[in-house]
Amino acid sequence: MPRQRFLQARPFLALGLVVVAWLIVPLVVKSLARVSFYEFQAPALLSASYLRDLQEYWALRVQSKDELIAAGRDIAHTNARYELGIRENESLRAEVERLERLLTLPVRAGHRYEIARVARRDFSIWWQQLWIRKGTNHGIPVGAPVVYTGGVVGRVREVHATTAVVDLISSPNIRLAATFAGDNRPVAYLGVANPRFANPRGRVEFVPGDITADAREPAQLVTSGLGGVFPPGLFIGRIQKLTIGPDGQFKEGEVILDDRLSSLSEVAVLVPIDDL
Amino acid sequence: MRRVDYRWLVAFGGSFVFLLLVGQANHYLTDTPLIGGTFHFFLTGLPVAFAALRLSLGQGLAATLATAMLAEAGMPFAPGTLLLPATACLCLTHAMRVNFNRLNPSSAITAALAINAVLMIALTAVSGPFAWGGAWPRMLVDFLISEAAVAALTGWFFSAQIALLGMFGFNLETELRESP
Repeated sequence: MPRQRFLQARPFLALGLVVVAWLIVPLVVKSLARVSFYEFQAPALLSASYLRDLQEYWALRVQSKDELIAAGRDIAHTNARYELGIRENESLRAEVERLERLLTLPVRAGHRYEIARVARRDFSIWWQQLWIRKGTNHGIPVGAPVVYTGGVVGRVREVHATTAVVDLISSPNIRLAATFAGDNRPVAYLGVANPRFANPRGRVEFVPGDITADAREPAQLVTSGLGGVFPPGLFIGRIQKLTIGPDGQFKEGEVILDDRLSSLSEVAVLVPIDDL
Repeated sequence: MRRVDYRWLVAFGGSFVFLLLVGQANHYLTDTPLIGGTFHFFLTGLPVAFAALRLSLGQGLAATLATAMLAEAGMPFAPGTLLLPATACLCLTHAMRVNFNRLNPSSAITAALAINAVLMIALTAVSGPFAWGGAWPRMLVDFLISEAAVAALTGWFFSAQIALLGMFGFNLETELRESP
């Protein structure tokens, strides 16, 4: 009888031992175990990503030459526009540097762009994150901003040897300092749990009362540059409706993010030049 | 010389491949223009259910600890967020399995559904107020499709794990280990 009772209680004894062991084990051991398990699965993650790229390559190989020529022509038009933009950007940058020297202003932190392929997208109700195929081996720091052609993607949350995890701006644990385009007053952007059958969403708070937005003329939300993480002026999303917040002083509203965030295959990590 | 019983490692290997495939499915489901949104499968309860019903306590505990640490390695939560609920589910199911026929497929499905639901509730509770509010419809849909997937895949997963263990010389169907 005592043996039978012991056998029945054994699972709970085991559970108690595991809980006590987990409480006693130092945090460094838990973190080491976590990193070890992450790195254990990283090669499989990267292999699946490379296989997808190979699949896309062979899919393109079977396209006709006419289709490829037409696609190349479209890309050439886009490249021409971007090249003009780059030249304009360079002249503006040179002007900014000249004015900074003239007025002895503090120099803005520069960034270099580290292009990274997306290895995996993981969007659940609890998190919205990407795995990218670059890590500490490529100089990616924790907290680095991540962008794409449409604006802000998010922020690097974890960095490992060959991969990094990026929190999307639609992720519930993202907070950004933002401003409305054409206005320099700071507002707060935060990610929220995203609804079904809709574009990715965020939320904007502490909006001054004189700012308006509607469906015909949505307001554009951009990064403010405060905090020094994100450069100023990067597009975040559009706001179609602002309502008075619970405090009665500021407005708040829903930020509609670009739906291309759901299908990103390549992003750019802004690595601060000071960190090189 | 006593043979080292590493069946927990084989079960963990099968769980690793399974979770990898689920992750790939979730990746492709992030961009689903036909159904207008993203879906996310959470199926970590299946490996835990297999370990609870088909392995001994020690072997099941080792397999579950490894599987849970693997699953939570990429999550934005503190270590142990998934590990402790998974261990609790394993131990509770192991204690209760004397009361039902654990080899019965319906028992496997019931246990997998319950364990998966508990793990999803645990993650939702830990994620705090951010995941609540207006996200209830999405949460409910993800919960239902995950449970439906668990019910549909339990038989296949259990068979695959048993076959994998059989390849390494661990024939669960015929050998008798610790009771029951």
